[in-house]
Amino acid sequence: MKKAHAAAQAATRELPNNLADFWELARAAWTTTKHLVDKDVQNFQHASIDEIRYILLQYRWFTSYYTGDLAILIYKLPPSSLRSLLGQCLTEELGMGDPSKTHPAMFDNFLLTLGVAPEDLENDVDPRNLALLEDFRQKLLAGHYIYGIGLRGMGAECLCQVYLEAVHHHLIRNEEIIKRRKDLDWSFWDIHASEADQMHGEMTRTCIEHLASKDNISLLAAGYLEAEQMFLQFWNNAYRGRPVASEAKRRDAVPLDGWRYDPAR
Amino acid sequence: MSAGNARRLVPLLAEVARRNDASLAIADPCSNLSYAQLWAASGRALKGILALDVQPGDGVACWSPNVAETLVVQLAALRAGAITVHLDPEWEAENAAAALQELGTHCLFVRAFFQGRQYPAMIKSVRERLPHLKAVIVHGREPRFERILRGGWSEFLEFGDGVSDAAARQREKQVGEFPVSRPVLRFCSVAGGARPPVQRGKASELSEGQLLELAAPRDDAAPLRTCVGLPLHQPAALVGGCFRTLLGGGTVLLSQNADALPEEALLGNASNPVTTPSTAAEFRGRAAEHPTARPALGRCRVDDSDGLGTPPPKAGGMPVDAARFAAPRQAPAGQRSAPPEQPARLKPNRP
Repeated sequence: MKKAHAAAQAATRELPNNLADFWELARAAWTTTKHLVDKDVQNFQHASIDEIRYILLQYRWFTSYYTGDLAILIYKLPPSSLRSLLGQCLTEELGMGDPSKTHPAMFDNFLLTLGVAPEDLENDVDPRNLALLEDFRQKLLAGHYIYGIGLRGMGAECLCQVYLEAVHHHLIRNEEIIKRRKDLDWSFWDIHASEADQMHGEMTRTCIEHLASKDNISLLAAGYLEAEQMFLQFWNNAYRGRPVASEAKRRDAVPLDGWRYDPAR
Repeated sequence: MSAGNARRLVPLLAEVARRNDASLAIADPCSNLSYAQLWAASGRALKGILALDVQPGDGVACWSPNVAETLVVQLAALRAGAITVHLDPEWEAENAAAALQELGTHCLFVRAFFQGRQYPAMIKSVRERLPHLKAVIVHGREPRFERILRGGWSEFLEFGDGVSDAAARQREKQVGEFPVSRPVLRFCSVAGGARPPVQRGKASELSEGQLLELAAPRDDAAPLRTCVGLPLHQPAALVGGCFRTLLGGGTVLLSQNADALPEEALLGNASNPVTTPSTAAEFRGRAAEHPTARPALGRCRVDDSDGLGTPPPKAGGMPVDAARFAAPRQAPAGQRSAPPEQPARLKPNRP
């Protein structure tokens, strides 16, 4: 309930019209501290192994869609340092030529070592979250590139990293994870919950400043607030568990990008 | 090499390195180092330690699984006259902070990540409690981040390149004049279990003389090949496993899987069975006089499954070449090296 309220609040906030106000608006979400005290994040420390598997399985789809979304954003951007930087990020996301080292593949490997069955990787997805991701992608395709930067450029590189850092902090203290720690594939977390990704976030912010101006800052902010709202809703859906049958029918979405689990990815 | 000998540890190690320069000294899942490479690498790390203004008697700590960098730092700290402490890689940040506070550590070397643990993040969470900790150096980062992130291994070595060879030699000479009773290693007691409570005031020290006595190989012993799977904060691993093997010109195979080791100690060359049980018993006998060496005694064993010099299989680590340990161009003796091309970036880390 609190999360839904926060998401609604985010949607109705007044949009900033200068960069300083915009960074001030975004800064609050970029500290790991805030997420460390989030009760749902803290629950990773005490959750059962089944709960952990289910929640992180949902996040798998967030990671999966990110690669395609990043490619779309790069397509829309004008020549700029941000375009170049995101191109570099996309190369890393796609494993730098090695399909087994794509970030979605790394996350899948983590889930598999956690005990998620390969068939569940594809099938056990919350359709509400799938619908959110599809909706997000359509907005990215249809909207201005500045809006897209706020929506996906900042949402992933800035918002996600601090959240994953907080999740990792609590996850690694869970007794079930401690038992399995040495057998889990931590490659995804070694990148995304580490100092390395913090650097990515800082570089993204620097590049955004070269593209933002007082004429488009409100678009950037609108995209960012949309991303924040979607992000909160996504995790809220994951934490609340499997949807009831009636909700599942209402939001019956199928991923359009043909994503399927393949160890080669 | 027997007890009571006037030999000193650092010159002895230098002599072993000279005599065995092409032999394999250390193998870990990511890299192999010959004795020549190990000595050169520790020389470069020595300069890095001097550049961090570590004085004789200052504390240098390592918080890492068993990797080559840890032994490179260990040798460099010995050459600099610092006191080394190895922290249990399974400790929580609070335990590490308490130990570092207790020991007044000057600089800390940590692994970037290992089996889900992120040591830089853990240290960052407790850094403000460690005002005497001047620098944290991170090794094991992915190469593409090594040049972007501050406080890395490459940056540490390059920072040290600004220290002249003469200054490094001067420090080693100074250290050689200290008494053998000076402490060189510290060990922290633990209560056992995966998350031990902090044991305040329970650190114990090993002097250079004691270390030589415990780790000296027998004069007639063949070079050892020792698989060290126990973490290096345990005396049996560091002293009985690593130092003893290196002082005898043998090969240390660093493993990160202590669970694979058998219960009984087997120190020695498996092809020379006469030395095996008696060496172990002898080590136990001598070590009994030194309480710090007693915990987890004798869990090092020889792994004779690979041929000598065959690189061990990589355990998913990034491929590493010995070039990262290569010595830089030498500056003329007595002169400070030319400043590095980029401005020196390694300053005491921000909390």
